[in-house]
Amino acid sequence: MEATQLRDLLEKQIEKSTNFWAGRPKMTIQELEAVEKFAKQKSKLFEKVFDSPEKIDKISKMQNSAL
Amino acid sequence: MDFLDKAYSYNFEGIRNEVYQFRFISTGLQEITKIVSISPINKNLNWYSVGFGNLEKNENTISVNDLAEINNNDYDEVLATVFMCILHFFISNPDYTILFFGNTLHKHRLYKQKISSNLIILNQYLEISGGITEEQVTIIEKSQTITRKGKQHQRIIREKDLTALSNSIEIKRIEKYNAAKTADYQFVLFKLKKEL
Repeated sequence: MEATQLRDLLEKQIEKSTNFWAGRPKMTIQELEAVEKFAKQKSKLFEKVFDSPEKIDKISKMQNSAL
Repeated sequence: MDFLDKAYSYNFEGIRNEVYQFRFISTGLQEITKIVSISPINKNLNWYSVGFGNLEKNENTISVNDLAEINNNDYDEVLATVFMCILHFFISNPDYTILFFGNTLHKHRLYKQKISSNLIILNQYLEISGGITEEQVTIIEKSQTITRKGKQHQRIIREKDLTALSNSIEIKRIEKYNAAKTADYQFVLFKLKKEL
């Protein structure tokens, strides 16, 4: 039920987006690079969370028990 | 209207060096080009971080600004779009986890408030957890100039001192997202529901 709903939701969005973005300029290399730089800085903030195998194991267990 | 139906039309720009990039135009009080990025934090656990902000061009430099405090009167639409990008990402990465947090006190509270008020809709597709770190994030007050109705105003934003996180950070607890306990959560995790 939810799987169908999700597929419909995304298909509807993709159709809407395809029409909206048709003919609009693509992002430039400089813009794509700026986004990449921003994303990597953002990810780096939480890098230390995973700096040992013990921490990774502990986090994995905590996450699984929360699901 | 369903929360997710409010999403703007986003464009998936592709994957560049493992960073998933999306673009959309916020059409609140003014038109603002916004970016959503999803990038890896840890590949062993397949944790990814989501970021979003304004794509800004100043003379020769282009950057993404996620500290802009412009109220474009469309918080719902912007957040709905971010969630649609997250769902888009999950279609090809169903076992991955997305980490979500706001970098100012105001935004962090606002995002959690929006998640809480749309929990039933989001829970249809997502497993949502709240995370608590050992370290308390320090808040820095910064003065910012904003323009409203053509007039410049000074305001104080309470930004998180995220540089401290780069030195040391440990997760204390991860629990099923509880709307009554969001004040405790320093970050929120999203995972696609197993049955989807």
